[in-house]
Amino acid sequence: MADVLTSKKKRVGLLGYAFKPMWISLRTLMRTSFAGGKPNTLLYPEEKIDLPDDFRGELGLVMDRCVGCESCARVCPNKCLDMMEDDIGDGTTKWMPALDLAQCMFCGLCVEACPSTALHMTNRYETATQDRNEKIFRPHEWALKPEDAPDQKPFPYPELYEINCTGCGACDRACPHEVIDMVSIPGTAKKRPNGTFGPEKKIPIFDYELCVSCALCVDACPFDALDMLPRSTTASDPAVQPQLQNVKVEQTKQEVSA
Amino acid sequence: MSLPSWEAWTCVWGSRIGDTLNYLYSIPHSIATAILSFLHINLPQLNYLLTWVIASIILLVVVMVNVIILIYVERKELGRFMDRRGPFVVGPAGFFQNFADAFKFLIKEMILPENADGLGFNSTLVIVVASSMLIMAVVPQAPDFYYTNTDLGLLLAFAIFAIEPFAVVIAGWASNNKYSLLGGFRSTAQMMSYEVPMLITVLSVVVLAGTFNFTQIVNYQASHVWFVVPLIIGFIVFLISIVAEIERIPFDTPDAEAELVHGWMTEYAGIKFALFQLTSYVRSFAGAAIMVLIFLGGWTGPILPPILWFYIKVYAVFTLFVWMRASLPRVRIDQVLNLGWRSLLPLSLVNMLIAAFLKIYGGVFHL
Repeated sequence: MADVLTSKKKRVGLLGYAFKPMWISLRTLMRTSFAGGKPNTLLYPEEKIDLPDDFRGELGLVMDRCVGCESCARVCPNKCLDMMEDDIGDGTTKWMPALDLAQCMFCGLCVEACPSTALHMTNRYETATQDRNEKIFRPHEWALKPEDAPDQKPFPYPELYEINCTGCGACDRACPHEVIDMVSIPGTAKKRPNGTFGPEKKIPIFDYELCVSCALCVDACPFDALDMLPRSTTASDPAVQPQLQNVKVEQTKQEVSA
Repeated sequence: MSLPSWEAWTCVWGSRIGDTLNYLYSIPHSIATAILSFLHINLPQLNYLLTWVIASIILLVVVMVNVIILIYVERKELGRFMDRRGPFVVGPAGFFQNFADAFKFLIKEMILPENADGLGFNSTLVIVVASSMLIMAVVPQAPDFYYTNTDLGLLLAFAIFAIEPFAVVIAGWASNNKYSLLGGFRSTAQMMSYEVPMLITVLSVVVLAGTFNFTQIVNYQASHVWFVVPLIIGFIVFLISIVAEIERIPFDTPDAEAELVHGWMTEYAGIKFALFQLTSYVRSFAGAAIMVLIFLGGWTGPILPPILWFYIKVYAVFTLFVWMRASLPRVRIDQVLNLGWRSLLPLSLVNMLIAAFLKIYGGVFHL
């Protein structure tokens, strides 16, 4: 204690203790009172602050884009998203997330996880209500119009590490769309002792036009042969992809079609 | 022993030079005379009593209105110092925020703590409020606006100033609360360490002016020079001491919100607390007024009437208080005592030496 009181290292002295803070507050007074200045305070109910575009406010769902992959519900740390069937507005129903905003902590993980940019964090931040139940939304109740949720996220796409792939087809079965197609590789069939040939080794090929980057195939793969990589390094970008593999895949495709 | 007659009492009042020009006497006197003549009563004693009562009410109203304005000014200025707005919703530019707050305090329950001493707890309120209001009774506000103009006005003002810490100790003890008690003790310690340099500084002014009378001190400054010029050291010492005396923020250790809950005011609720807060502003007003009178030339100034100059200066000094409040952190209790005894006391003695020097050889400096 005595060291603290008598230490000479952090002595600010009269200048630092009295005059500097007084000068600072005087400067503030002059800045806020004269020459058209005004205090920094925002008169909140009357004025609203200009929020940045990536402000994390209330969540919104673009129902047209939702593919029902449940990535958001799986990644949500607070379990505030739950999947349910709901009407998208034209009579048809769809498997979409419902939201309990009272439990939401605005971490934004669901928006990052959403493969089809159906989830969006809006600029609305006045979320107070009288009743807690008013903050539980069915899918169509927290829906956004597509033009309110700009689609600008680079998607990751699944990429195959062939050395791990056993051709089991789990990714094909997990894919919600017709993205993955299991094709046989000619010449890989083993010859049995009785002279017949066994099944050929299969490999998934991806139709990236249809892929929504939901990563269900990656989760389904039992041998870690798939990984989600950003668009620029995946097979959909021919500039980066080694030409050899590209040719190989095309060859396989042609053979399959033939 | 026989009491003096009524004529003797009124004679004391009426014989004062310039009292006929004192609005705080002439207006109440005319009102009292009008009332009594309307009621067909011809009692000089009753006239005298009524005059005093009306004058007291007028003074109280003047002080209270000033205190209300002071609170508003402080809240606004403090906001600007801290880069925010003060009150701005209730009334024009938020002027009636004080009234809203006072109304809120009025509808609160007045709680007497279970183990508190009721007599000490409640009488403290009376002592603190009454003694603080009494200060302005001896402080003249203009040559034609004063309640009393005694020969020992300066000494009397500081005597009344020093009543409050005793009441604070009583309040701290009677509240039966450890924070209240600590606040009361701190108030006493602070008073002991700051009264001495402050009164020595005041004494230097008295040495130069040769009188304890406020009016004559101001007249001396008007004919010579404001005492802030020769006694600048004393001015600084007095500024720090008076801030410690009125317990404003750099020296508000008795009711330090961060350390003690609200110090000696912790157990007071509702309108009692509001009265204590109001009283602290009355003391601020009185402190600023005394500072203006003995250092800044009082009501002297060009063109404008004296009462206006007095209030301009008082509000300027109060702004200085607000400035210090906005800027400076609260000092610890040991720093308070260190500053009071080690720095201010020697400085006040140096100031006293300068005053004595100027009094002896002051002819050179036209003092």
